[in-house]
Amino acid sequence: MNTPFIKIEDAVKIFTLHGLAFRRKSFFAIDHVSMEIKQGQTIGLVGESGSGKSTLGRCILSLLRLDGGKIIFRGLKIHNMKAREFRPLRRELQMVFQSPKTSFNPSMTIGQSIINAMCLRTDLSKKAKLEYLIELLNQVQLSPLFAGKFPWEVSGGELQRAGLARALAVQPKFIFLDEPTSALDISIRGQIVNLLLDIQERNKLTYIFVSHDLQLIRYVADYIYVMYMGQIMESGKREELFSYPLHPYTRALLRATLLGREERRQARLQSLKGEVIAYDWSGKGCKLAPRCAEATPKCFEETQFLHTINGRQVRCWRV
Amino acid sequence: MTDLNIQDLQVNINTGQETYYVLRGVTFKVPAGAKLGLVGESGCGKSMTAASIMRLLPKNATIVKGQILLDQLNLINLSEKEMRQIRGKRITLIFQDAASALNPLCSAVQHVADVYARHISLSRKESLHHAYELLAKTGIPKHLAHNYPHELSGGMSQRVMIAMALGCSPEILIADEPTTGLDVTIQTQVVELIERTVEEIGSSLIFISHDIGLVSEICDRIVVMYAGKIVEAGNREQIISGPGHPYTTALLHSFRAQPGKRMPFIPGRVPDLRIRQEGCSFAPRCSLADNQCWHSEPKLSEISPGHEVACFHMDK
Amino acid sequence: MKTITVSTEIYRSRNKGWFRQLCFLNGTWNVVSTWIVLGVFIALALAADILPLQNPLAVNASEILQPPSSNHWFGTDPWGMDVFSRTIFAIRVDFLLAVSSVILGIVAGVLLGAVAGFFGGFLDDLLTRFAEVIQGFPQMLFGMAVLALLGNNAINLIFICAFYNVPVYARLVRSVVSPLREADFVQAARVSGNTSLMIVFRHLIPNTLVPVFSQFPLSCAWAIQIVAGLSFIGLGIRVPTPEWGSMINLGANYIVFGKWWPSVFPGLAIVISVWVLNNLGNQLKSVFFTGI
Repeated sequence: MNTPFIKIEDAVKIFTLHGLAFRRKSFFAIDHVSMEIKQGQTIGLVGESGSGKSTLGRCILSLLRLDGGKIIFRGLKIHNMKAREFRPLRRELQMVFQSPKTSFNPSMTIGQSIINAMCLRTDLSKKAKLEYLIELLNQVQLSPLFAGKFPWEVSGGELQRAGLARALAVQPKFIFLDEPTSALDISIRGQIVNLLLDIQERNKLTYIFVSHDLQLIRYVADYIYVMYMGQIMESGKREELFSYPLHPYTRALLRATLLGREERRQARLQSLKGEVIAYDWSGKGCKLAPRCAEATPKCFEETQFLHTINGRQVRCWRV
Repeated sequence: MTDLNIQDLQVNINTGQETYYVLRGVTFKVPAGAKLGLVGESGCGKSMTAASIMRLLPKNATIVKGQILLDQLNLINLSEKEMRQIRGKRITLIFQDAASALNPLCSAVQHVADVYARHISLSRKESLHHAYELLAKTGIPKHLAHNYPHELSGGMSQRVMIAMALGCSPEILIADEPTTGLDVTIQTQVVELIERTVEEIGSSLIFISHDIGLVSEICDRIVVMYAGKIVEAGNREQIISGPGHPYTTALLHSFRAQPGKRMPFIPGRVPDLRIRQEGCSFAPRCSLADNQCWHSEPKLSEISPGHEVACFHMDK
Repeated sequence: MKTITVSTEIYRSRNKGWFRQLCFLNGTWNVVSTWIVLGVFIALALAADILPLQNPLAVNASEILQPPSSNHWFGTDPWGMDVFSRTIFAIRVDFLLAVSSVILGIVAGVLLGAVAGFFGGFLDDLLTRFAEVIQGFPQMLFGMAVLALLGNNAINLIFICAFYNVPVYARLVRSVVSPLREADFVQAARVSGNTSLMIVFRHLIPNTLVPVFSQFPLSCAWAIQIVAGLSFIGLGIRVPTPEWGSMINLGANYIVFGKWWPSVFPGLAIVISVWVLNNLGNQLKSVFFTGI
């Protein structure tokens, strides 16, 4: 089992915004990203809007094509595959979307949506699909009555669980979880997360868990990649990353989600200023430089590369 | 400055077939210049409380009982015309989803200038001038002030909303989940901005959120709501270090998730507001619930100065 | 042993009969009256031949423009024909014409609109130009040209009405489908293995049916109008075949003289028909798309 389960090599995805009068701005949604995922792992993907994490998920699931690089699943090159070729692989790679309300068809009941998701399960008869539906709903702790309800009749947490049931319908080996708890109250966050962990153990799944909430990632992920504007800024094992965050961006995220008021007041000088403006990168220098409190002229000039320190990767020359 | 005093507010929503008892007797005070946090899960009635204060309730909602006293003025008795003098000027509201709360046909600076033009009756030129200044203060430089809402990011839209809300130096600012949907690093910026400007103007703040951690960062006083009622109210220290109600304790646990095996959460779901059940509404989800809890409703009582709890088992 | 029976169908419709459910969603009066009127219409249309009605084609010069009487319940028209029996015989013609042509137009329009809206690009542009051309063309001229070229019969009439409905529904459907192309649930359907065709038919078209059902009765009323216009100039349904639109036209000039019955009764018939179709559309909507 030496081949990694999923390997992403130097992936590139460029988006073009069409402005007025033929002005077009292109930017790297995914900027030369490489990752290795072993079977059974939970990879944490941390980053904010514009970091490329959702885009990466869509590329893995063949909803978007890559403009460069490779995605290799079990030795097979799956990026830019033709739809017909990729279809059988959809039984192994699945996704749970961020906003449960929009990820269900409003004109279909939840049960109908989940049964529709079994369209690749040609091994099941119609009756068997219904039975499996009940079993799936049980697995995610929803009563069978939910099958007859419409998405808008159900709360966000319950709908997100239904989304998980849908992803499990094909019995996948891998699930990309795109911010599964962001749209939910903090008090039910734990419910979904514990359920995800249970199901992972029971079904021996591999997860990529995306979130901007480091507190949450600490619970679920074994290995974490921190992304900013399409690039990996830092990566490392859970313990290492949280105990010794190396990159300024990681530290800023930790401050924003983990620390309390007093610590934040003290660290005020070191917080990030400004916002992510996706297409406003001059092309050289560190992408974080305009916002980084520790930026020096060198940060603006020299393009930063990922270098490895003690088995971890960091993209900052100061480290 | 002014006090806001809400007394026994009860609001129902009639859908023609059913009645939702959305607020079931809400009582709390916001002293002048205070920062009060209103905490609770989705569906507990916190947004409804804000809407009631602003008298922006949906058409099928009725204020069954209660008073909302702005100093001595009862907002419930005011006509729509009178209420319009208050909204946007004396009491202002920041919405949750800023991008959709803005008019897609007006630029950022136009939004803010309109506030001035409407309430303070300045000339077009003067209101524009003030608008630019105010936007710059909230962190939107002049070259971005002409952008339309679809050209603004979430954080920037929220800043425009804040500028609009503060334009007339209101006496009370209500912020209804202003950070939902924003990046975490932007969240801290927005929260700090709200805090800074509220202190500068000297207005009171009602900060509504489902995140008790966020609320505890800027608010001195915290009110916890559940199923249309207040279950606990107290100062920040009292609530954070010594919560009295099991719901508050559970909320704090889920916020302060310490690394461990299982992530803490509150089991069950928020009660159906159509049903007025006997006893404490939190009983189905409470680990301490006993016979008394299921049959009689606990009332808010003071367990220490300024700290009120509605529970029969006030744990320390 | 207790087994849980689960249905993915709408929960409510399992327990109540469909009729009771319709009443619950739309109001009993609405449902009952619509179906009774529809039933009456259908019965009259089917049984028109055997009912004791006056001959709808009997021209009678001595009895022109008689007001409603016990002999002629709805009076007589300028040609002496009995308005009542003509109104009833016209049910067949109008309903059949209107409904069938509109349904044809809907089927074609929905398909085209869904495919164009979903796949976009060249197909979409082509459809939009096509729709613009058809809708820009004067309807009467087109109708006249087709009937003149291809023969003046009912099939061609149906074709004309259907043809004009295609761009209407295509655009309607396209306006719903196009923004949904990138919707989360469509992506989710793709991730689950749905092919593009499955997405269009199973996921997107059901979401378009609400505006389509709303438009349906209006299209039917319009179809009756076009047929009336064409028959007025002698094409399509020729007088003396009873047809509401042409009956109205025939009597239109005489309203000024106080002879209202030749036009008003068929006019009322059209109003009632559109009302019935409208309610049917709403009821269909309510059953399939509760809450949307």
